[in-house]
Amino acid sequence: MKIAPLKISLFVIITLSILMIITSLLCYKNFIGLLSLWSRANKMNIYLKVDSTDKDKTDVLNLIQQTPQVSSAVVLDRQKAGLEFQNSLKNFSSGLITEDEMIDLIPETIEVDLQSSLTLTERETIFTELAKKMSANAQVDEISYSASWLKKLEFIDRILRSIGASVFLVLVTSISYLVALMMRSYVEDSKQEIEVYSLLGATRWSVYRIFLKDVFLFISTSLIIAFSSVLLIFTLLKNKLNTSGLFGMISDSLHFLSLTESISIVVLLFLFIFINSFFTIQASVNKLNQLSYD
Amino acid sequence: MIGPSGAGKTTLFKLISAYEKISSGEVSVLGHNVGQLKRGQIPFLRRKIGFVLQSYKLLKNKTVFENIELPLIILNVNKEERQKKVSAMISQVGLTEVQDQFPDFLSGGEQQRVAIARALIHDPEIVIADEPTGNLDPELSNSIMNLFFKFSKSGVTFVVATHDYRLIKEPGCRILKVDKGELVEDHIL
Repeated sequence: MKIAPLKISLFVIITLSILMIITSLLCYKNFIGLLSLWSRANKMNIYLKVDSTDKDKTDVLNLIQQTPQVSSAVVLDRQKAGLEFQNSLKNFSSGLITEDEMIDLIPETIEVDLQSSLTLTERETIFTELAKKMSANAQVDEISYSASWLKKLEFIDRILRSIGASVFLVLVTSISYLVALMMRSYVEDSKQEIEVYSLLGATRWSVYRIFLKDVFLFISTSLIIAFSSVLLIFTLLKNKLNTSGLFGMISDSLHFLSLTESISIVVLLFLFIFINSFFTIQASVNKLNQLSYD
Repeated sequence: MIGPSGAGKTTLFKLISAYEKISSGEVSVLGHNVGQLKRGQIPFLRRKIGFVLQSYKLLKNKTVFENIELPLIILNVNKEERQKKVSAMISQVGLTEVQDQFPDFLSGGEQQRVAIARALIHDPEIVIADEPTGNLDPELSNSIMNLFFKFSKSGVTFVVATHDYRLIKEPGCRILKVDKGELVEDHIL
């Protein structure tokens, strides 16, 4: 098939669309990754009553362990915590309070952490349920886990998902429309060739195949170019962040799409554009069925 | 098939090749009832027919060789056999010198010879030629008709529509004269 400008336009449109989709997904993944990283640092502290015994501590620990998503429940070393606190106040309170008095001020604390694979929403739900269960225990004095922050993060995640889904839908619809438009022009510009093929006894499928072969080539090349470009930009950006001290920590937490994610995206986009193109080609060729004989 | 413009020659050819729907009667071609054919069966009927049209219907982005090769590609003939058959056909129609050229660089007579070669390459049972000399001068028209007579001797049936009956001189040709959609004369030269 000829019509180079149409082919080039179609190729550019498909490549840019794929590039936009991959970039959006990558941004979402890393933003949520950064939020999750922050939330993972946020653990639950369960403060026991002053008169709690070792048996009480063990009972509370056993109760915590009943939640399968709990990855660790550690009784904090009061002595160490006291020293740290005293050191931080050294300049202000030197000699005002003794080490023993300080330790007595610190309640028995159990630090609870959840499995790192949990999402923000799951983390928030499990912490809330655990907090409810623990407050019912007579030996628990107070519970702290920055519930409001987790709720805010969960809200941000939800908003991002909604925006992401809407943007994805808009992008996908635009791609469908543009690809359909381009394919239609492409088929119409190849009217003469379709006529000749039809005159010589080519079946509909063999006519579709001529176009589909081109579409297959476009999508494959577009996918390779789009993926390579995003990967290249991502690597360069990550390296740049790595060298600048301020964002060094952030750069460690940035990840490209995993192999499974990449394959899923490639397969999905490929199928989507290919099926869309096929139906457009089919409709356009069928419309041209009244082929001129003259 | 001779007759003035508008006599129904092209309509008959369109009916034979299933380009036109049959409103009444029956058209039977090579054992196929054309009116009864399903959409998917039409290409297989057309593969048994060779077409030579006034407008040549050549692909401008393909060379002479590639244009002639097309019916064999559609029939899934292997490359080696295609090369052999196309080369033989090119020398039979006298296009060896221009086989790598594109149609736009050929004269009208050469383009029509490419169309004839393409119509014959897959050994069709009949060849339909609708006003094949319509765009050619008398000398070239005669050479094209001579080409038809030459190939008809090898057993291919040519159905040629023309309004210039002076071109049909070969003894043994069956002349069908149509006018206003009716067959008005049928005789053999």
